[in-house]
Amino acid sequence: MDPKRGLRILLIEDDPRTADLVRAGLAPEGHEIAVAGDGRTGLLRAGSEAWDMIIVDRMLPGLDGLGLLRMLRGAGITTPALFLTALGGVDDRVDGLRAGGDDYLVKPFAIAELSARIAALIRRGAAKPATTVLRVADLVLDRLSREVSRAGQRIALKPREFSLLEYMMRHAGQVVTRTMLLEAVWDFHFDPQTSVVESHISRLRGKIDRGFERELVQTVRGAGYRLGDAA
Amino acid sequence: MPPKLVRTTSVRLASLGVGFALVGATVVFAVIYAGTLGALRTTLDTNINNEIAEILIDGSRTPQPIVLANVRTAIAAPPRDIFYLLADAHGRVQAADLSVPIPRPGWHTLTAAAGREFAPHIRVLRGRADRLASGDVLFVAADATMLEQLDALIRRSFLIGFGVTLAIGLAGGIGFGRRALARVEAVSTAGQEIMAGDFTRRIPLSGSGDEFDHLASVINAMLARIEQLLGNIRAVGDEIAHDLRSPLARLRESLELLHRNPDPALVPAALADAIAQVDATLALAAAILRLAQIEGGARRASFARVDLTRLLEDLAETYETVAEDADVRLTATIAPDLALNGDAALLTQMIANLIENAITHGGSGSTITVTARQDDAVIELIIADDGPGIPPSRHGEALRRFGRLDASRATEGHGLGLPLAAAIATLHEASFNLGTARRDAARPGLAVTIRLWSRRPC
Repeated sequence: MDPKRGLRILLIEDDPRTADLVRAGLAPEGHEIAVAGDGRTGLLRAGSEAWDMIIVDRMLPGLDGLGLLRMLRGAGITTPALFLTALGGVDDRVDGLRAGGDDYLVKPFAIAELSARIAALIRRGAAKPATTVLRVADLVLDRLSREVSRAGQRIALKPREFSLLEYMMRHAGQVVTRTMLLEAVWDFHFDPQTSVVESHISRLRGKIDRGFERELVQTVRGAGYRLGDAA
Repeated sequence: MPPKLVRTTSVRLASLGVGFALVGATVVFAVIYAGTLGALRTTLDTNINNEIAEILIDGSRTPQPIVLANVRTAIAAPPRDIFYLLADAHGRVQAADLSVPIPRPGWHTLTAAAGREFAPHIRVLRGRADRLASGDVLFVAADATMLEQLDALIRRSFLIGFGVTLAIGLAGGIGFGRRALARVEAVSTAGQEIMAGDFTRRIPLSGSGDEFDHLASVINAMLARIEQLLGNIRAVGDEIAHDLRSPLARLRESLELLHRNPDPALVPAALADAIAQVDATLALAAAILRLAQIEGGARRASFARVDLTRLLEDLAETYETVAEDADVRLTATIAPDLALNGDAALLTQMIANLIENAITHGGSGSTITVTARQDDAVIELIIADDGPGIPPSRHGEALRRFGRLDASRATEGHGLGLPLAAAIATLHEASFNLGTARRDAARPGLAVTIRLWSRRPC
């Protein structure tokens, strides 16, 4: 699937303000957003039309988000689904993933965060079977031997740095946010009070970009990081 | 509104008790009544029957002259406690030593009255009337005064007993009811005053140690707990308001500036700043909610086996990098194969919070040590720094929500790090202690010691 093409996204959300914000925020990416205002309508549309992605609020009138997704998954519909949830639910993430959700975002969220997660989910859905060797430009990462090299030069990485680079290479060209990295690389489901991500990105930059003309690790202002050639 | 006396439990119970007592008394009375009076009456009736049998030697067909002769003989013979009346078919009295209207056949009990004249000492007669074949009526009666007196005596005794039982029972019930009502009123009054806002009010105890005292002391303990919780909530409310006010005030300032000077070149930066302030506020709210949920203990259901060695090694590696950037050294000594039942995500957060706390408060040039070892079933985890530490007298304060010790609140963070870590430890039934790490008075450091169960005792 070409991520540049606009996606057909079903947003099941009862709060019109959130729905408008998502619609307006995702419009520049060329996505087509349809909104269902309650669980039953959402389930009906999710089951009867073809979507690239479903975004579902956990708290919905009629049928709640968890139940809705369980029914969809039970009916064999595997469209990638992202949960939106209210602030602070400790167990919500686990519940959401168990019900068949692919990702999870806490309200209020930045549009950049949502956008990055949509891109990551779509990419994951279209991913080829896991490859052993990842390549971005002249950077090579071997997941089996856990070796990294750039332009043929071996680079020694610590385990966390390796996981970080592996995640960024799997999402090469996409924006990955700080929260996405914390969840995927560190399994942190809280907001650390120190610059965990920034410190590691800076270390990684020092190891893979220093001495090379083209910087592969890029900072995307207000959103996160992107690995790849400068756009 | 206080309950009416008649509706109190004591009065109801007393009434019920009195009711049962009366039913019992009635049964006893019936037995005594039937036993004594019945026996007496049977004796009396037997005597009368025998007397009649002696007069009517051939039953009702006994010839009239013999009957008359027998009656006269009987009337003449002492003792005089049996009385006779013989009347012919027309109601004319043939022989009699008593004067009553001619009775119909059957048993009669007659009291002395006008038209009925008995011997002077006799007030009641009991007798049997028979109609003979000739049409004559023979009435033979005995003195039943004793029987009637006994009957009256038993009835009177019963009524007095009945009345006394009823009176004592009800009076007792009402007395106890009043007393109970007074105690309940005391609770009720205290309740009203507490509802009106006086949370220091307690229910007075009578000192008797009865069930009311027991109830009152439980309610008092509950009230004390509620008062304490309210105090906490008030304190936390103040703290939250304080913490929320700072970012909101800054937000207002930036918006005001932008409003007065809407320079398009400044708008993006000002908006980004505004969003950052709101995010800080939201992060605080999220931390408060998370702490509340962990303290609620709802997460214990999701416990699973956690590889603590692996978790600690990953965290140590991560924070070595972070610490290095803050000019802090982090060293970890972690025993192999540490494992426990728990929530990996929360344990990660607990240890991360403590290490971050040490990095932030230890300051540049400090050293953090993370030590984990197992002794029998207990895993001991120590996170220590050599920074300024916290004086032991203020450890309690540090563990309270928002107990951030620098009054200026200049330090980053929401002040929930230690309480959150302590709450997570408590959720895992672990002990959580603060102490000093070193003997150096200038930089005693802070050592957080957590003792977790490797295998939970069952």
